[in-house]
Amino acid sequence: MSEATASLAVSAELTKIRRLEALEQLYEQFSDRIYAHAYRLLGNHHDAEDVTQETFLRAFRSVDQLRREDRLASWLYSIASNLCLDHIRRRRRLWWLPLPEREDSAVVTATDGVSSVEDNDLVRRALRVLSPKDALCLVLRTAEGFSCSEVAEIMGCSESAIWSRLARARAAFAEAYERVARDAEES
Amino acid sequence: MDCASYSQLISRYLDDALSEEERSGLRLHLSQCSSCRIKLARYRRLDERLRQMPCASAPPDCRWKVLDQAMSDQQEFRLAHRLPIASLAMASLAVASLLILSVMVPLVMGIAGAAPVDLVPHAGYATTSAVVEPASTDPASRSLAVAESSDTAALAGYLPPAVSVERVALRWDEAEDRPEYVEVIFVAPRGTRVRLERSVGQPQRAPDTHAGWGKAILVHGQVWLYASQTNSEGIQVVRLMRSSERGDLTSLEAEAPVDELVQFVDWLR
Repeated sequence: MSEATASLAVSAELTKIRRLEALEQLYEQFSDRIYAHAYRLLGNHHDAEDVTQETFLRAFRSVDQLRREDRLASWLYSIASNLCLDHIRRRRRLWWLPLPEREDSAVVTATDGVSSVEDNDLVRRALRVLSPKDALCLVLRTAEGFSCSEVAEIMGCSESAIWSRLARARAAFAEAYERVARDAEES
Repeated sequence: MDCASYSQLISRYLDDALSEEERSGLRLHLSQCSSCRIKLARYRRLDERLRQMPCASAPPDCRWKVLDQAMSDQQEFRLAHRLPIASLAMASLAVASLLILSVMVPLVMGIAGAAPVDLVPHAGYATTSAVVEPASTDPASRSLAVAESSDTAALAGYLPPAVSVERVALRWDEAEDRPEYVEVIFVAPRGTRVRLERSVGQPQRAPDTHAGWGKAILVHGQVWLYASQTNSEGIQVVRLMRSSERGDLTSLEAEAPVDELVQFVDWLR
């Protein structure tokens, strides 16, 4: 191997290390948000962890596709959201026995002190009634606090399409929430 | 406009996405229609309820799994474990290895939480050397000295005292009406969880799924966990993890294609 080739090889290794450092920083900055997003949509710590891992690995593998750094959050949420939708689709075919999800998991769960575990369960059950994309749209807008234009970018559609989807999702969620709350009271 | 049409506007009102004209029209309607006022209040309340959903934080070992996999992607893991990379000359290899070790050593130390663990038997459970039987070409039927059971109590006997089995679960394929995966979750003292899955029947997985098969094995009295996964390139790889003296199971020690399993177990010994 010539000196030039050896130098190229070292340079390539350095680039790899820089990429790993960048991944670590990215993870530091966004991991909790991405994990929380996946957990809200999937309601399961293990699936949320899977989605979080895969999101950052995909970001790592396809960082060259990121055109603008100021769109980093949208880009990551877009990857994570698509992975969540995949999980939900797969879940329609598969189900776990038995899967009592534990709220006292080692994963630190911060609550605002207002919502009870039971009420959170009602919210999750009501979200599950919605179509996966409607649920995603509603969670991105409300729980994650993205603007409609950001939600449009994450979901890859127009802002007016998001307005329509949000109107539909809010109506469906209101109806579903009331129904699951009523069922819970009766049982 | 009827109330159904105003429903769209109420939602857009909450998103601050109405023109001045639309806003005035809606306000006028709300002043005259109690059911739309109730709807607006209900939507507001539910938006707030969604905002209050709990924020869960990513578990600590998730970070290492991501970095670890990223390193495996770059083949650096092999380099750090002295596996041959013929394409690099010795000079560049030495420099590159040093650079990589500067990342790897703190990482591995951070995962294990202590200095590398000697392979000494744990008190309190049996010591058995791993027996490699690589005769079968079917990864799922390879047999080592394993603790394999759907019974958590039976599994517990093969684990260090500090490690417990949280649950054994079965994933059921509803369409085929048969079990698809058995999942075992091990918990280390600090709350670290390691999930292993083993397929039941014919594994059909997408290349990027987490699914694989896993077993607990005893090597020189230490519990090693190995799991097969299909990586993003569609290559089935074996991942090996071992327990530290404190029962920490997050230390990923090596990853290699299935065919190299025998070499890896030799390396362990």
